[in-house]
Amino acid sequence: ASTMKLASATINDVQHEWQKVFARELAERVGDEVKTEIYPASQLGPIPRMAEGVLLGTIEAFTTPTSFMTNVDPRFQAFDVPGLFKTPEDVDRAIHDADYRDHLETMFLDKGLRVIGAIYNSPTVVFTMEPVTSLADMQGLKIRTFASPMQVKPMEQLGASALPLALSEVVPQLENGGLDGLLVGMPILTAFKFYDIGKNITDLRFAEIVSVTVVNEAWFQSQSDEVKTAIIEAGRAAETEVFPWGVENVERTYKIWSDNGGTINQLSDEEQAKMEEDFAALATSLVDADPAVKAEYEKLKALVDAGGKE
Amino acid sequence: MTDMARDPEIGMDRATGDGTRRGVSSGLSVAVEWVVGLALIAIVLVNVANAAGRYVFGRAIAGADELMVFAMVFIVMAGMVTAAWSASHIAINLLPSYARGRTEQLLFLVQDLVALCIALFATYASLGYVTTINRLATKSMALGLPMTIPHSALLFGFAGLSLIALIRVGRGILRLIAGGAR
Amino acid sequence: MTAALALVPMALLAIGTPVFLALLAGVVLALMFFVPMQPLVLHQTLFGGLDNYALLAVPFFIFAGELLSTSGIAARLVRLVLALTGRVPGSLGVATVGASAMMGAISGSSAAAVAALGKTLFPKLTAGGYGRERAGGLIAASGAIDIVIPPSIAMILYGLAAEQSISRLFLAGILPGLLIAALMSVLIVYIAVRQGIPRSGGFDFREIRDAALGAFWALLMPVVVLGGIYQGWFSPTEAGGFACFYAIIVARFIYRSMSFADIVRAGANAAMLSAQILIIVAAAGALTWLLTAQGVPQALVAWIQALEMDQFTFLLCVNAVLLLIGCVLDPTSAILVLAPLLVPIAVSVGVDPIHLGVIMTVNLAIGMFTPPFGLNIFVAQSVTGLSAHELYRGVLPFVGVQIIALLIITYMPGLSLTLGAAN
Ligand code: NA
Ligand code: NA
Repeated sequence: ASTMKLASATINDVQHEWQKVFARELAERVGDEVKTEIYPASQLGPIPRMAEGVLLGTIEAFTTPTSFMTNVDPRFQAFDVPGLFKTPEDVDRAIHDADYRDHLETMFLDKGLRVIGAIYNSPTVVFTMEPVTSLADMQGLKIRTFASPMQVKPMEQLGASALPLALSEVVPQLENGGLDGLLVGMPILTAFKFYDIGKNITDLRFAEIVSVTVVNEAWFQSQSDEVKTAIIEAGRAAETEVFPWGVENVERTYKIWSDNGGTINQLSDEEQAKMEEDFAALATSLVDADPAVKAEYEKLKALVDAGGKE
Repeated sequence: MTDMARDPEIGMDRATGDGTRRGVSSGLSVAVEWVVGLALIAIVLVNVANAAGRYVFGRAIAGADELMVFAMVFIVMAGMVTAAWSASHIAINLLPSYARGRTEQLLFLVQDLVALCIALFATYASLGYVTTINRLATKSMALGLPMTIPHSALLFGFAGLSLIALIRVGRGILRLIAGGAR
Repeated sequence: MTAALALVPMALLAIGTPVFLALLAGVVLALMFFVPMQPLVLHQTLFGGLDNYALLAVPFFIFAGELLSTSGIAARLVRLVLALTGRVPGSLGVATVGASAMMGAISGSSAAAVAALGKTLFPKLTAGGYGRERAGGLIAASGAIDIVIPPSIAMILYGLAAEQSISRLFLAGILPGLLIAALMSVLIVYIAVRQGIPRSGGFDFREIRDAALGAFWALLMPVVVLGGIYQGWFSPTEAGGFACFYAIIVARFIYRSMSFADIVRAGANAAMLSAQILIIVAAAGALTWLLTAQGVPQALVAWIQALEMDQFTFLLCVNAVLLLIGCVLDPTSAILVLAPLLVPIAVSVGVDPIHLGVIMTVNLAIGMFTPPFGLNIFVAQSVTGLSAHELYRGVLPFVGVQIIALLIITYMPGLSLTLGAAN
């Protein structure tokens, strides 16, 4: 029997839920042939170390938003291009398309990683200390982003300053005015009780976070054929099962936000349309920088657009 | 406060009290100290520039965090090696303050042997890690720096520690053979 | 397995093996013989332990302390406190405590305060009628105040390990730090009155004025460092870098008390000591990772929760264990190993993690000068020339008074949480 450590940075969210369902599905298929151990909440270290851990095989599986894997392979950026996904259904149509899903499973094998799960996580929203209801309100704000062009460039285009601060610095800086807001997945805001710090989020509807679970391919290949098949099947079964859970979970987090006195701001329709137009132009220039990213983006975009026409 | 680190009571120059530190090795550790001293001052300046840039101009120096942290990793490894050479690492050192003569030297030898084994294991582990990360060609998030560079700090550090531990073990054995005469 | 992870490191510590090697020995033995994991894990967890932005606070605050001491900024503070406390019985002793509290508001490491105050005050204290042992003990113990009053490396490390707001921890430390200073002062006044130690001087307005003017740039420093954090100019970690920058400017261009070479030398000293502390941090991180990946903390938490301890008993146990650990182990590594394990239990019995952070910091502070092992003792030894045994005797009454302070801080959470509460 072998051990499969499943790591992630969060807890009680869709990533954790996927891991739990996966463990159950796998046990149903192979019993205790593979012993799964779930380590949520960064118990096995900060995100960059978990990413390296699964690459080197010190951790067997890692569930993470794609944006934390872009330094492993730039093609992970394709999922974060502004304007690509606007709804959970967009995500579902693209990543769960049968052909695309097969392609996704093996596309990072050259890095020694196999994708065994791909799930809808949540929308990226802007948390701000002061309400933002128009594009003018974004001007000059200091917004914490990841050090990824997919987050930095959209914020700069809106006239804000993108500051890729260390996560440990975010809360003190928000409280002390060194930072005006951050780009963040909705469930993170409620999990870390950000409503105690500020009350405003603005839903720009420009990006949905996709989470993947990658396994170390060398470890995967060391398993019996029966186990390999079971892992692949359990992963896909889990993603089918948790998709609605994930969508409801996002709705739950919006409700928790409101119940704790938080406000959800929107841009006016005209401004939203203008922003989306600008982001579309930005998306083109962002993906043009890397042909491999562009190829991936175009595949995803075609699937999203095909769905939209139905 | 680093007077503390030089205090014989907490271990400095226990086995090298014969004055080996003077001479070539001393020149080398002075050079290392200047490099790390300047590096720390540079980190302080980057830190100030970064915070000022962020507060005053709303603009951070891209990758400043990574630069400072990676520099710190190199400083730690350099410090680990130099402190091992001068036997000034933080230690509890209860027994040796009572042990004298051959017993004391035997304890030092055991410590240096432990250091050698651990350092060799860590060097082996680091070599494997650095080789793999180099093959995978991962880059740091903000600077886009190949992760091989910061990770190799540990490889150099532990290789250096192995070398120093080996020298100390060799010298310790010679001393014991010589009959514990200092 | 237990032997590899607990007994072997302890045996190695006892024979004087460097702390980081003793911790690593546990990890290496486990990886070689007990845990089916690749050696790569060792590298990954060591690097992971160091690759952490908040850890920059360690070299920053140690460098700041080194600069305060060598530039004479600390000595100017001491002169001012002496002028202010002249009429109090035991004034020199009270001044030592007061100067330590002032240093505390600038510096984040207690070894720095002990070095700076020891150089200036030890000769004065012995000349003023305090025995050498008592004077040395007082200096070693006063350093504790420095890491409870913000800024504080210990709190930054706790905030890091326990994922708590460092700004809030800083606020929470203010009253407990002042309480320790007040109780220490009471003890000194009592000793001075009983032993008939004379006052150091009368009330001299001109001396106060001159000392205050002389200490102007030093007094401005805590305003800039702490004010900057709460004004949002910089983060608690960055504040350490700003303290260095400020001290360099004052020392080089205002007081002109340090040459460029002096500053580099101070930087080198700080870097070397930081490296020794941080390699312990990294090794502790590796050990924690291994324990976590073996499910040890999870099992421990389940076991303690099954005991259904109440808050009172839990906190008593925490203090007893930390004080014992603080006697023998470097408490910095103790915080890093224990905080992630203790926080979930604390929360489950209703202890606020910020309050627990203050409790752990005070324990750490006491551990810095409890026999037999403590950085403050080593530093005091080198600046006072006393032997370890003389210092052990000298610190005892202060260990007692600080444990009383610890109990008050433990069982009056309001002391920490009034300022450090969530909102
Ligand atoms: Na302090
Ligand atoms: Na101690």
